Amino acid sequence: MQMVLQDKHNMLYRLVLDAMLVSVALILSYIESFIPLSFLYIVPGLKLGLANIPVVFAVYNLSVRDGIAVAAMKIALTALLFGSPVSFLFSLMGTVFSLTIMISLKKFFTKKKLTFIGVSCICAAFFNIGQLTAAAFIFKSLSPLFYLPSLIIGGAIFGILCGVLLNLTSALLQNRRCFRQFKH
Amino acid sequence: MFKYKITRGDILVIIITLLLAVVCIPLLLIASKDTGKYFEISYFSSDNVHYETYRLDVDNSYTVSNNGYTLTVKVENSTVYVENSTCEDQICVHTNPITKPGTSIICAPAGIEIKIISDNKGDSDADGVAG
Repeated sequence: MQMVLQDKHNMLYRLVLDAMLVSVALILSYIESFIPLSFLYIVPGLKLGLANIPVVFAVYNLSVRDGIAVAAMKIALTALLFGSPVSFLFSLMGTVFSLTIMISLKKFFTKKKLTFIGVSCICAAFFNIGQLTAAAFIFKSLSPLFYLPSLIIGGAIFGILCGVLLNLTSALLQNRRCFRQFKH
Repeated sequence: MFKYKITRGDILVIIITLLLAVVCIPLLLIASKDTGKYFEISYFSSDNVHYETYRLDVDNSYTVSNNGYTLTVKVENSTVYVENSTCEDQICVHTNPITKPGTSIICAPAGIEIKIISDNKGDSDADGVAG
């Protein structure tokens, strides 16, 4: 009985933490829309990627399952609130690409060979690759891929910035009791 | 206070990312050197992609709509750009004017792609529908 209660408590705890991270992601994605990057004419559609911080945080500080849940909720809710079917497909493909690389790099992170800076950098690049692949598939043309080199570099730069932010927030939060419980 | 510092692994991953960008540089060749004669607007809807082709050498302004959004596409001196759009992100409006075959402007909310095509492509008739 004690065990069952403990499990339920854990499930609830996880649900609350994940929901919290999803709402942080939504707020960040809203804030991000106010940051003008329109002066970057050569890289249309480049974003700071702040909204992906909670996803990376969930995958690395909670668990892969939590990360996937946060990412899925984030793209579904962002599409419902601010997007359209096409932008949903773009971010779905981008998230699938970046989550794949994020999960496969997790073992290097736990061995302390990588920090969030590297992880976030390559994830941002893969997010953009995924988005442009989706665009190429949707419109059945190769033209969107023209922006790939500039978007990879732009994404990598902003990814490093997000990685620095993640390193700072993670260092502050990881010893909190609520996160310590879900190390794996 | 902050436990994490940049590691050798990070630098390696950053270099790999930059190499990835270098590997993708040949994709810039999608854009050919000559100026295009036509541009194609693709409209994405749930069941198909619908194409319309217009002339690039005639200055004009077109109003196109899809998915509930309306874009004003302007042709000026053989370049195409989106003058204004009712979409939220305005990425299409802020994309550089395009003129070379292979380059494109995308409006994700509206599901519209504007692409320059060269005259030798042969599908220059307007209102061609592809499944």
